Amino acid sequence: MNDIQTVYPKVAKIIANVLAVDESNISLDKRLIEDLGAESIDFMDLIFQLEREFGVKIPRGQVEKEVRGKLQNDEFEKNGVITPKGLEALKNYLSEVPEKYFKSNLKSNEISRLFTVETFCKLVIKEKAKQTESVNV
Amino acid sequence: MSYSFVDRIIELEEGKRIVGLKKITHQDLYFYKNDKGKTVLEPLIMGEALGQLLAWNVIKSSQFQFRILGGILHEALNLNDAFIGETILLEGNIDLLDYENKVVVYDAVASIHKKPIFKISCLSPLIDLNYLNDVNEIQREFQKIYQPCSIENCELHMEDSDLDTSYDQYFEVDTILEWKKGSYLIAEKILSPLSPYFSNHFPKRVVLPLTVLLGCNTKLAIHLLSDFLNEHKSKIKFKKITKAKINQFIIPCDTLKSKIIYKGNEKNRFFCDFYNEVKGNKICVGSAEFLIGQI
Repeated sequence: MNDIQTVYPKVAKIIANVLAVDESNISLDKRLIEDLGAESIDFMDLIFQLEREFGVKIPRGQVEKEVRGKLQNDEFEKNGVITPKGLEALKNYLSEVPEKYFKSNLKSNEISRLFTVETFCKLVIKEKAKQTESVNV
Repeated sequence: MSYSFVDRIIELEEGKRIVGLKKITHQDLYFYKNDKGKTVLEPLIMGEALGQLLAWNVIKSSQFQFRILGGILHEALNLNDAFIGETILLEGNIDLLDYENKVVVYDAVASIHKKPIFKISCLSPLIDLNYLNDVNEIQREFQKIYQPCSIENCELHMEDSDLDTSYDQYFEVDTILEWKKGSYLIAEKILSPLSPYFSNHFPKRVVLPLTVLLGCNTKLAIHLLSDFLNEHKSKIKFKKITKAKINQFIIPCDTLKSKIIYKGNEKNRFFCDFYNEVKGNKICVGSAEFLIGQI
């Protein structure tokens, strides 16, 4: 289970179910909040269902934590607004999100607005890989 | 009269399972007459009782730090009628209780004489208990209702069919704003602070129970269906609610605007979507299924 196309059908089905939208409306590039109408409570439900379906544990705030990587808090954001350095790190991590959605004054509490269906596919793949690594150790 | 529907907790495995009882009495207030003229407990009140039961498990498991409130109702299934005088056995199981991410996932069933009458499955956020309740008061209340015993040793009462009570108004709306026969209905309800469902829900922050919101939606849907199907309202039964989610508190004096949209039918099953807003902000969405005749 190491590529997007393998996990995508199940992820798409779960997202369609959680957001009560037709599966035909789901595609890798659709943003969950902006395009599919997700709300914060939906993310709780989505994470729970992905964890159950794929047998992984997805720590909350995982994406933001990984984006920050080695950046200190004030390197990543200032007064709730992502710095240029933070924005670059965000673009590199969320490489599946089109460039045009990364506004220069993006707030840290708006990061989740960027998440696409593909973002969650990548998250699942990453957590599955971590799981496989820890089993092999 | 407090909006509380768990009379007794008879079994509790913290973070896992809970069993309770609820005796249906006149004082439950929320009844309607079914198509046979019998007084029936509003089914969503059983859903409320089940939600409150699970709240007790979370409250005790978290040592009175958290409770549950709202969230997503994945499914509520209405299986059978419940009558005044009967005792409902409430059973709940927790699938996931995650304190770090403040979420609980659970399912629960209400039964009468071993016959399931209502089921729910939910995902709810954990809320600080202190935000809604006085912790000491809740601790005292828990001491009163937690009386462990085996189900076999509990007194489970039979229906008392001599009683005749019907208070159907609590889930009714005030004004129909728009109505297109067989298509949709939009209505308004001003939430009076004197309404009994606000009592003790909650002492520190009074909010509308989700079950009342859903009850209003199902009642409206029945009006819509009754009109274009040409069936008496009492013959149309709410069978199922799916994917109902609420994202904000609704408070006394708010004006609740509700839209019910007819989505079609499969033989005797009729489907509606509902949408609620307050001050132009979306509050709740979901879907419901109705039957004509027996559920």
